[in-house]
Amino acid sequence: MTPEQMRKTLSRHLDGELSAAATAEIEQVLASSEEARRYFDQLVSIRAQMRQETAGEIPDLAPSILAVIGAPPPESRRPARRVTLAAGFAAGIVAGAVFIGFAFRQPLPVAAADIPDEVIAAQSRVGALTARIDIVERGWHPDVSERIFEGSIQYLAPESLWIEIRDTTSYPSSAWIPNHTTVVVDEDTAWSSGVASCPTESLPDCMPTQPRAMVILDREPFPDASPAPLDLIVPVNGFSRAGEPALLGVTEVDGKRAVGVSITAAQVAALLDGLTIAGNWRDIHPTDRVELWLDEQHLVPLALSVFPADTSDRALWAIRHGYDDRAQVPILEVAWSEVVFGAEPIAFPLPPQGGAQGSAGFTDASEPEPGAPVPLALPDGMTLHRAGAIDTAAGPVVSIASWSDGRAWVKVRSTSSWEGSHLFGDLGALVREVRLGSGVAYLSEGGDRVGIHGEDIDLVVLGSLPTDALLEIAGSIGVDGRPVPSTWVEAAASTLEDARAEVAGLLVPVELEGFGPPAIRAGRGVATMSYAGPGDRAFLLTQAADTELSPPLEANVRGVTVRGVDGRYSPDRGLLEWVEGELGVALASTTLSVDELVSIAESLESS
Amino acid sequence: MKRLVVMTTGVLAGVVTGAVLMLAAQGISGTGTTTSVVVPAFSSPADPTPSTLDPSMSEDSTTTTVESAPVSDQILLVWTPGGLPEGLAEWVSAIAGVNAVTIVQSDLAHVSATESATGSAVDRPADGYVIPVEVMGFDPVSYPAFLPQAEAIDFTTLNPDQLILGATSAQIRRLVPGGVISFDDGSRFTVAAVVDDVLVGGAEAALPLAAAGPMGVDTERYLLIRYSGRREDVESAIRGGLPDGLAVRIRAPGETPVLRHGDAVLPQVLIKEQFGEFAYRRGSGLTFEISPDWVEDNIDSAEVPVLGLVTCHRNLLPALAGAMADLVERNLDFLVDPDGFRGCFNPRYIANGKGISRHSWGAALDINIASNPEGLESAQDPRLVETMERWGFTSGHDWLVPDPGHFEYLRPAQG
Repeated sequence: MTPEQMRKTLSRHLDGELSAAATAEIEQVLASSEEARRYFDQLVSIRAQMRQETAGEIPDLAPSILAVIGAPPPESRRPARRVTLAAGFAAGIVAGAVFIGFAFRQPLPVAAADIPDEVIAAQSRVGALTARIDIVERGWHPDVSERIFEGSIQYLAPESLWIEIRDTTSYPSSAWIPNHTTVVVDEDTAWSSGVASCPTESLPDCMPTQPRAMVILDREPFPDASPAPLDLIVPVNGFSRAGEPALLGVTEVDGKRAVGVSITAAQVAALLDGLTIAGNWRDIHPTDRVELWLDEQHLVPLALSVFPADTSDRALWAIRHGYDDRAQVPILEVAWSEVVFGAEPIAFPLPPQGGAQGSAGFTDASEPEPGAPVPLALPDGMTLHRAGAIDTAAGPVVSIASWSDGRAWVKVRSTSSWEGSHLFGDLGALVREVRLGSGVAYLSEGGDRVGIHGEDIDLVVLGSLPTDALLEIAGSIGVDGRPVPSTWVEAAASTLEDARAEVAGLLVPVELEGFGPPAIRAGRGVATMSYAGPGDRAFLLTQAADTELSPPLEANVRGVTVRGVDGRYSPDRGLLEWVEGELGVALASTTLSVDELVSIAESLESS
Repeated sequence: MKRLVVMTTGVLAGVVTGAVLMLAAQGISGTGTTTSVVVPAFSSPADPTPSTLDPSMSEDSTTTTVESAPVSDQILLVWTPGGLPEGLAEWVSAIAGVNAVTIVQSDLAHVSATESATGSAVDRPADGYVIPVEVMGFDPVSYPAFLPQAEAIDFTTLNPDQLILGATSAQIRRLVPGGVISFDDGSRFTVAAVVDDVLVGGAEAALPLAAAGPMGVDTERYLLIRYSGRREDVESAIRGGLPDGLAVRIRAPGETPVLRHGDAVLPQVLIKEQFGEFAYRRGSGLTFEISPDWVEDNIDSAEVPVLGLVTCHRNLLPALAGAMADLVERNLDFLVDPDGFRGCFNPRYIANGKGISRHSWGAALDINIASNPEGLESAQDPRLVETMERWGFTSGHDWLVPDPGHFEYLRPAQG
């Protein structure tokens, strides 16, 4: 194990993230290695400091540094000159380390492990926010290499948001229509206005001359439709299930201390999509690198830069989209400035007259529908937010009730007239079956929805809270969950043991960081395991007995060495396949690079 | 003094080493980018700020590319215009070197409503209107042999009331697994999976043959063949066994954008992606009426060089104007007879009524039609064809059933 691996392993041990076997192994190392024990003790101490003050004092790292460089301990007997040199050298090391530590004010990497939890916790600390927003977009069109925008963002928890963006770009001619956009979400009403996009090669002639307004009325509380106001203020979705992000350091942005992390665009897809939901914008590849600077205290974004991923697959994607991106030039930069927390936003603007208007069919009521399931246990401070029902000819009558502490939220949707052949509640194709009280419930791949199929009711619990909290809330509703009928797709939900029994020599990722436990489907000799990470990051691992790959249906494939054998990668489909022994394995993802897939492949072990 | 020099040397070396180690311990490269954010000033493309790229983000750092993927079989597609001759699959199966064959059916079906996975309405065309979609019928026993095992499972485990959507179709439909599609014949299917377009031959939805047939999706469009050995031998055997005069196209992956029948043009789903999707109300004969909202939002009239006033999709007009201006600039405008222009936007089915003409999207046009009737060899000047192709149009001159007067959108203009 390299020192870096050891450091990470000790950090994860401190967080209680290691498996039982790995924990036993690392405890053995701690028992036998004074150096490891000393580092671990430092880690405990540093972590305690970090929890109080993210960028705390620089700890005494001299022993560790001396150990790393192999400098002799002071008491060793050596010629005087060497002792002097070594003493000076050691003193210099400490001085240099301390100088760099203070000058750059970098937090230690161990603090990175805390960031996802801090972001998720921060959602309950931001009640209102106003900010100026500046955006630079590059590469949208060959004739308009750079577009510049300015505007404002106003947020009032839990579900009101107003983003106003004005395009200040100097276009080549008046044929180019400025990309002014407005997005307003105000509880049961949402509307947006902007000039629709059209194909790059047909610009500017294909641009509609007038912006188009889209208005949705009668929205249920916290609907799935974007933008989700919270995701634009505190990127909870982007840090749920996240592993330890790569820290960029700490700096000052607009007079506020900001901590920087390096992540991918897929991780903050909700934030990027929300900013660009109206009007016309260039596309961003999911593997593009994002440097995100978060306010250290409130964990809201202060600056964001998107850099093109430096891979040949990304370059091909750019060519297909007509983009001339350069690896070191950000294609999108966003800055939030003049950020004021707690300021009451001004009144949200009403929808414009004459735009396309639709109703989502929700009728507000003062309290949950009679007979609608209501949780008995809710997190402290959560009170009823909005409740009512959707009753349209197009679907089942759905009762909806939501609770919020003013920021974080939870919602229960239920129906007694579900006729679908799958779980009610949009849990996705693969789910995890879990015990809940005396019955069963089903968890979505991302662990952000809990579905229950009751005797005469179907319901789903969802919200901005962690999985454990959602399960606790679902358990307090008192509906005895039954297994889904055998004809429903979720009936194939399986355990790891089922998968092992189905596929001999099943491979599973070991110590996989940044993804939740898998949803598994096993049957007909095939095991499929779905892993969800933060934001849109996810992958699918499929295994079955096989002796060779099937021939590809597409031309754009290439051979790749995976786990010492020749495999195949299809960049168009994000599919990495190989055969080892008598096992055919496929890793598929539209949001991870081939590098990451190969890394995951290398981490697979026979279970 | 010497002692001081030694001490100083040690301290200096130590300071540098300590600083480097500290930077390393903090996981930063020392390029200075970690503190480079200046708000709201942005990086200039002319002077890009160097960024520290995580080596793990570069595929070349960990991924070893090998020359070719290891497979023993290859795939070919065989299609003939208007549908396959009867019994083709059986005798192709008997050709030496052919290891597997499957038949793919495809036709139009009509969506009357869609629902999200939570049961709420997504698409609900106005009364009398339906959304035309291309549905593929596959054999759940033989078709999965042509798919990667990771995805074959989706095709072998479908329930009778389930279908599979292609990825582009799912995006257009705004549906995910669990969503529901109702067709105008009363059938209703739940979306079981969303797969890459290539796995459903560019169709919008895929159903097992047993479910597709009753919906009228019964035209046998193409064969997929797995073979080993020399392609020329297999291809020669196939051609030799076909009835005299029957045109056939044999393709391998990569020789066409999507491995499917009618491969000289974009699949309907990609036309929808480029030009939008409409609902229509059937009219008499081969005509229909497109939803007025869609027409208003997408169809436009404009003056273009050579042709004068044309009515096309607003996204096509710049390329058409560009192509005509290009001809004028090179004194080649005489190659187009304005009187031989037969229009662009024209909602109708194709001649056999089993597909929708690209004219319905305003994404195709007919030029010099009098001297270039359908079914005959092209009389178009090659310079006209070359110019149109450069501006993103494909010509019907080399189709299996030639239509040399016809040009339709294929790709972004190269200019």
